[in-house]
Amino acid sequence: MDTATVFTESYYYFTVAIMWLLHVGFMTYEAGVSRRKNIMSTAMKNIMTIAVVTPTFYYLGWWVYFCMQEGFLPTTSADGSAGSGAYFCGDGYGVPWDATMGPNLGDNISGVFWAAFVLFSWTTGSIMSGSVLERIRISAYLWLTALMGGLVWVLAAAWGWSSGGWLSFHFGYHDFAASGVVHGIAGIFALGVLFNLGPRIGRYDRNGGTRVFKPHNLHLTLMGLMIIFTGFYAFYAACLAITADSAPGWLNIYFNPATLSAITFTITMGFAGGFAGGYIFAKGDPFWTLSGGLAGVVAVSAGADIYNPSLVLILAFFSAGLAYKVGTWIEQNARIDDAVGAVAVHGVMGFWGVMLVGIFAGGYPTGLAGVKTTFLGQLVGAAALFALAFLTGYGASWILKKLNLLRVPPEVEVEGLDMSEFETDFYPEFGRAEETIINADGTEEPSAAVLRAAYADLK
Amino acid sequence: MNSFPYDSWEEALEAGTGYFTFGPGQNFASVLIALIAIVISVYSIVTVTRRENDLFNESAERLSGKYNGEEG
Repeated sequence: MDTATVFTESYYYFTVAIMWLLHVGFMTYEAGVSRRKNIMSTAMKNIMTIAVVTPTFYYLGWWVYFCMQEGFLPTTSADGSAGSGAYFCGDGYGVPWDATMGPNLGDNISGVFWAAFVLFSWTTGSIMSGSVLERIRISAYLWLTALMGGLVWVLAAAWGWSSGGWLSFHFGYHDFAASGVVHGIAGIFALGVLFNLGPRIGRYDRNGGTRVFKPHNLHLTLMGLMIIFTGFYAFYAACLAITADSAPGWLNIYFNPATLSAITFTITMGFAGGFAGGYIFAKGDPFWTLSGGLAGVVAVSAGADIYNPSLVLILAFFSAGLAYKVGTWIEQNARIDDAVGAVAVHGVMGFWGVMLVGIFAGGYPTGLAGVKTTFLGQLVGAAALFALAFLTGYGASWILKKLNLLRVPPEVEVEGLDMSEFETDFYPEFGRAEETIINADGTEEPSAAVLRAAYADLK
Repeated sequence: MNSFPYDSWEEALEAGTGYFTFGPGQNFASVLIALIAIVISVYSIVTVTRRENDLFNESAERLSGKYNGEEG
């Protein structure tokens, strides 16, 4: 076995191991945001994501990625007009009973490369998970995340995050570290779900004012975000491709030259600009300072392989501010209860990042066909992926809502999900402090009466 | 039952192919194993859905008195 193969196999293996931190972070972050009465219900969503998305991706997603690069139907042509990736499909590559989908002395790469994609799939679910917490049923979330993690984002990746996808091959769509195909898809899918799910009881008062539910542990939330950021380095690294010709060097997913060093510049400068922007625009708010770092990096991810580091800092700084403004507007004006701001930070910033490539990296010859990246090409990609994400998220959650399987009963929501689902308090060693709520005018009061009144308003 | 269909490593080493139980791929046993695993996966999520629905319905019924002013 040659050194390049061992290097490639090891490289993806360790990116997979480190990407687990993303999910440690998401669970920590979302559990911290939850009120004490909903901690385990929130954490279980993140844990069970792994149980449902992994088989969905193994049995369906991997095949979809290689076979649906031209649209919604499988293609097997390799005549050049249909891109270059689809030829895998005709060989049976990606189906779960193929010889490459298990121990194979002639294939060191499929398993580790597949696993990297599985971790991306979990990430899409975890992004949605935060938006819908404290009122969605775990089971409803699992159906939705199986759909998104096993099919929807995979279709997006097949179209715009492969060497042969119709967006990249025909339109020069460039989305190096998945601003659109992971973050944008997950955030906008979540938006579609939120329309059907509705806000948490008591989130908005009778005059349209927005109340704030205090996180049960903000420190846990911020620590979770820092863990996510650590995992981001591995996420970026796993976005690089290694082929027989490039090893021991790297290519981007479109098989253009790229380096690990380039993306390290980008992600580090992106966090710096994003934290600064978040702090400045949100006037020192801790949650939005850290979310600003995330928003900044999401916005520069699409062009992370080619951006000037100083440009990255500038874009991340202002993107963090934009995310804060959009997130606040979604929460207060549109009255969409996105519990962690994921629609703004991932959905809007994801597609914003796609468009930034059209503005700041226009002319880049993307992919094997060398089609130049343009603002229009990026716009076509953003529009196609936005529609794919929103319509599937809205449609699937609408069906669950009609079956009365989307949301927990209102009595359970006000009482707390954990006692109904797990019949225990998950901080038994600590006394239970009275839960408080912050009103639209900034005053704080015990939440019990407020929630009870809001519950009565439902009747 | 011999579910590892290789008498020695020679064949797999020379061919550079898969060497897993019921493998390597594209045969009836592999497809059957995959289908069973898919059924278990679907069964799991359906069971979570049904169990959770039962728990919530019981809780909602138990709590309805409290929140509709019949007690406390």
